[in-house]
Amino acid sequence: MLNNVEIAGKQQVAAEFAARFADKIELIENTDSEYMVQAEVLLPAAEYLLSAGYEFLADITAVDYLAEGKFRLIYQVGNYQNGDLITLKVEISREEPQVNSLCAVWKAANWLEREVYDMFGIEFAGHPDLRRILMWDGFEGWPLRKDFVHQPTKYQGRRRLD
Amino acid sequence: MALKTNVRFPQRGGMPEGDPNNSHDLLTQEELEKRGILLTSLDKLFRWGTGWSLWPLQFGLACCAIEMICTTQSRFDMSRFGYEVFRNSPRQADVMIVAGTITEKMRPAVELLYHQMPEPKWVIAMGSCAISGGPFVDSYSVVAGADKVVPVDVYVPGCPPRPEALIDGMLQLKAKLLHPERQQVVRDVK
Repeated sequence: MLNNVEIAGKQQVAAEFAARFADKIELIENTDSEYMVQAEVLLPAAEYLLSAGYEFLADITAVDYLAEGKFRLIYQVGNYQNGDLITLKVEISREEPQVNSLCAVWKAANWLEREVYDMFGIEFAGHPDLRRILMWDGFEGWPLRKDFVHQPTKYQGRRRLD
Repeated sequence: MALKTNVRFPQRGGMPEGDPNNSHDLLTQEELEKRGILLTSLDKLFRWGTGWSLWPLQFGLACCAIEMICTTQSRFDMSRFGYEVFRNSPRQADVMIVAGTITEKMRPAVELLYHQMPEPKWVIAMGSCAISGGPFVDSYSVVAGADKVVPVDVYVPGCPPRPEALIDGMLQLKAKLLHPERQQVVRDVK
């Protein structure tokens, strides 16, 4: 638990984001705590959230929008004091999948970012140990990308009885 | 089958005579057993003992492990047959129950556990995933069955199998131990 922190609720976070990152972070319509964040302000936004009491990084995941040529990263950050949950969404191009690592802000980001790297091949700049975590050493390809093609072995791809 | 033994039964002491059809006055094994004499080999005796006290290796890979745990508990009670001694160390186990999906990342660990078990050792493939990869076989990370990794003695079908099915699989393994001359037994599953 953090000491001497001013706990910010959803309204204060929205006001702070609007004041500091006016054109970089925008609230997604019909939500009160989901934000579309430009990749270059992800790190300062995360540092602000930690300083406002959002010390629990619940999950990092990604979605592959193949037709639009981009990945969307989703960060979920929780606050133990008032139970608020803030969602940050970051869109990056599919050609250069790279984004700043949040390991310096939340320690929990280490393995979560390794999992996203393992499944999507998204590089996290500044990650201390970026290597595969679920797949074995020597595996090639990024399984959760929409254009991933699995080469079946001789026991796979059999005709089903139904 | 009644085996001829070369044990000549003594004719004195009021004991009944042997088979009148047996011209050599040799007693068959069955006739000896009727008289309370058990003739066996050490090998057969050890196999009989092993069959009633198989020690499984305690590890589970997926949801089949939950059924395996239920099998050991009081409702189904695998200890009725002497199979309740689940060992945490492969050095002390002689049956490996592959309970669940083997993934490519888990394959070396399963292989290592099998090699760490002392001979003689047997493997039971429990459930669809351990038999042939199950519903996940076409995935990028699933091994198509335990027999691609270790030699399997008994296959228990089901997804997951009922605890009774696992007990039946263990009893089939016991039958395999007691009757090594049997080549293959395929059960009809309806």
